[in-house]
Amino acid sequence: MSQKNQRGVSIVEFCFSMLVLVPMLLGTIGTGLNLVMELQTIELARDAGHMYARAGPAADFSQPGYQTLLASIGSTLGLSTTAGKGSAVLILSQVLYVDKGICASDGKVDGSGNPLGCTNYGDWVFTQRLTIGNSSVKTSNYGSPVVTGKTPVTIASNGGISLSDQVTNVGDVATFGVGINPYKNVSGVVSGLPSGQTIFIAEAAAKGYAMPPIVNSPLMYSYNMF
Amino acid sequence: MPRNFRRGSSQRGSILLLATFSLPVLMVPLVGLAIDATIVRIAQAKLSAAADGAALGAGRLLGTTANTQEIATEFVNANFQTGSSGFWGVTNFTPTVTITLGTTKTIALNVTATVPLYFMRIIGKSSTVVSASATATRRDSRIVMVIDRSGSMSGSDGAGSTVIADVISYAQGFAEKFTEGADELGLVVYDGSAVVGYPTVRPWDSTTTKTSTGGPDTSFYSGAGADMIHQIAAIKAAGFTGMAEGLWVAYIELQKAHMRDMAAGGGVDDRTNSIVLFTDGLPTAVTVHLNNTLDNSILSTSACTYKANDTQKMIGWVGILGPPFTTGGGSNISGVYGRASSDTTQTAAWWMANSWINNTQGDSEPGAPVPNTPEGGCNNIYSDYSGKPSSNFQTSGKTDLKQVPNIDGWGNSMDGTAYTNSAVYDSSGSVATPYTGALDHTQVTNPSDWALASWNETDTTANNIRNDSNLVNRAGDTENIMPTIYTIGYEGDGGVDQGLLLRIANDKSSSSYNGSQATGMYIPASNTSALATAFTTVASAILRLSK
Repeated sequence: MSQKNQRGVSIVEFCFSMLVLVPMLLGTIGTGLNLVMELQTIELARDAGHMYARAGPAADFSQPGYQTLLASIGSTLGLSTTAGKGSAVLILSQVLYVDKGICASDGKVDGSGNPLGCTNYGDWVFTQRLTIGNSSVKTSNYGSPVVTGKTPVTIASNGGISLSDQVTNVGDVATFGVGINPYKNVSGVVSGLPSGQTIFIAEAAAKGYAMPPIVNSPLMYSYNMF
Repeated sequence: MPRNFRRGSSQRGSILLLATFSLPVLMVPLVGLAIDATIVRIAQAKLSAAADGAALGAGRLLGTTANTQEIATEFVNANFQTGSSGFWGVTNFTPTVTITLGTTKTIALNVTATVPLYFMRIIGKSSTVVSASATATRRDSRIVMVIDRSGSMSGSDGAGSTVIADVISYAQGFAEKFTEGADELGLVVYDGSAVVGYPTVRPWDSTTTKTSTGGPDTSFYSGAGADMIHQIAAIKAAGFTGMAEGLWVAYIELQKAHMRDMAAGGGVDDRTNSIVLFTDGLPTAVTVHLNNTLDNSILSTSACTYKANDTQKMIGWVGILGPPFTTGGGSNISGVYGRASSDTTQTAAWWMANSWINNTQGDSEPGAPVPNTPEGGCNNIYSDYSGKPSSNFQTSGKTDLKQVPNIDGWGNSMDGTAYTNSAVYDSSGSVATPYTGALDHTQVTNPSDWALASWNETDTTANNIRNDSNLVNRAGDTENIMPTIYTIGYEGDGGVDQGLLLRIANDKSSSSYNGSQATGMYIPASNTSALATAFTTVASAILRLSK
């Protein structure tokens, strides 16, 4: 076989091998990027949740300054401070166990201090919900306050929900059952604790890196409870 | 070139062969190593986050009756679910919880888990163990609730009850959120003058040493008839709004408990210090020390007996009647009354159910004159103790006084122009234009100048508390207790001054926010439901910070 023909064979072989190697390389890159994004999503949920649970009055995450801070943490995921924009969402929720003391705080007890008209007694309800970024990326796994219908829950500009809604509005009850509720598996412990047990939840979600048809855009999601 | 390399059969397929051999031998292991390593890193990050959440979540409950060890484990499990429905197929999930009790309680978690490997098992490595740890501490709280029980509090809440009844209920609920036996709570109520409602130690001790009596304690919810819950229930509304003195008395209470605990703890006191102030109005009273050497307000020509400095006489409070100072108005001045806190005869329970109006001791300073007898010949500025204002103050006050004091009865400044930051909001959201005229200390019979001084006094008092200004006077103490102040304003009784309440709390939105002081929070409440929410929000904020 002449030298010229041999060069042709090498090119053909190279092309064949590239048919395998290039998709593999691209797939590796795409998968690698998505693994990195998965890691960043976990870190975002953790860092945001930690600050949310710890900060107290020093940080109101409904304020633009703090949302900008969170957006900078999630910038590589595409988290935006503008509602509906970007490719990521951060959902911060504060849920409260409605016990007798909470019922009493809203006057929903009888003369003996037992719940009376305290619709959400024994449930976990939202006391605050903040959504930062593009809410169409994912909704909360814990449900959301129902803000439509005949008796909508009112969410204030700071994300707060009134005690009245917490105590009597069934639309404010969180989806917070066995498996994801740290208290559900601990028999009877909530009723034995000081009134007003609260859990802070941070959920982060982002659209993954897409390289069709090799890598589709998976949904990255992580949550953390504090 | 060697001959055999010119043979076509050898050269054909060399790249395919190379690629075919390199895939399983070189590329797949390398790519697999990268993917497996990343998965392990992700699992470790999730595990660390789960431990962090568990430490904070369970750490909040340290010191309560809860089984924090069990709850911490449940938190980790909830944050990091394993097995077929869980995270990356992780198995052998083992949390270890260690709890250390004390004033500063610590919870430490160490969690290990086995992460399956998908590619590295080709070379015989099917899994690896990752671990994460987290620690959280809970500092017990020390809180003094400061409750406004001025006359306006007896008004309707618009929902079939009264504001004072609502506040009693919400304040009790607030106290019950803290842990009996661990957290320390105290109660101060104020009308024209402030008095400690819990603990019930009387006479009240205003010193701040390690042997001082009183101060917030851990028995606030003991069920005894004189515990804080019962004392709150006994509060009745009447009188003026001496907000500054309410804050300052609370500060003294915090210091006493701090000194006591520090002595008991070998020089260490780790508790967080907080004051929770509730009000439905504006300051309408000032405390005075009229013959204070540093700021003597008595005319030398006055007929008052105690013109020279005296640590007991001429100390009291003055109420301002009429419209708020923002208008520059005010219709009357009450005259001078003795401090409720100085009373030596009545019990704390009595003081919860009675205000200055009912204090038949009148001038309640130690060694005070008999009831209904004005202090030492100061007929023009002292009330007749009948519950009515001094009839002479605005006509003859200048006979005895040369100035509206620059310093209040507790040593806090009443001077300056801080009142220009006033922002009085009513329940409809309307805000009054702040008064920007000058405070003229020479206008001793002008209610509005007293009102401006009252605003300044309240603002300065809060600032001094947040600075722990009395630290220099606490022998053997070098620890700034950094009190955090939370303010709740009920707007349904004609409005509250958000400008002032934001400044008192050192809220982030305050016109005088100081990052070197503890950041508090102001929560407005336009109705009883919002008021209930405000109390629970403050409790939640304090419990958050205590960990």
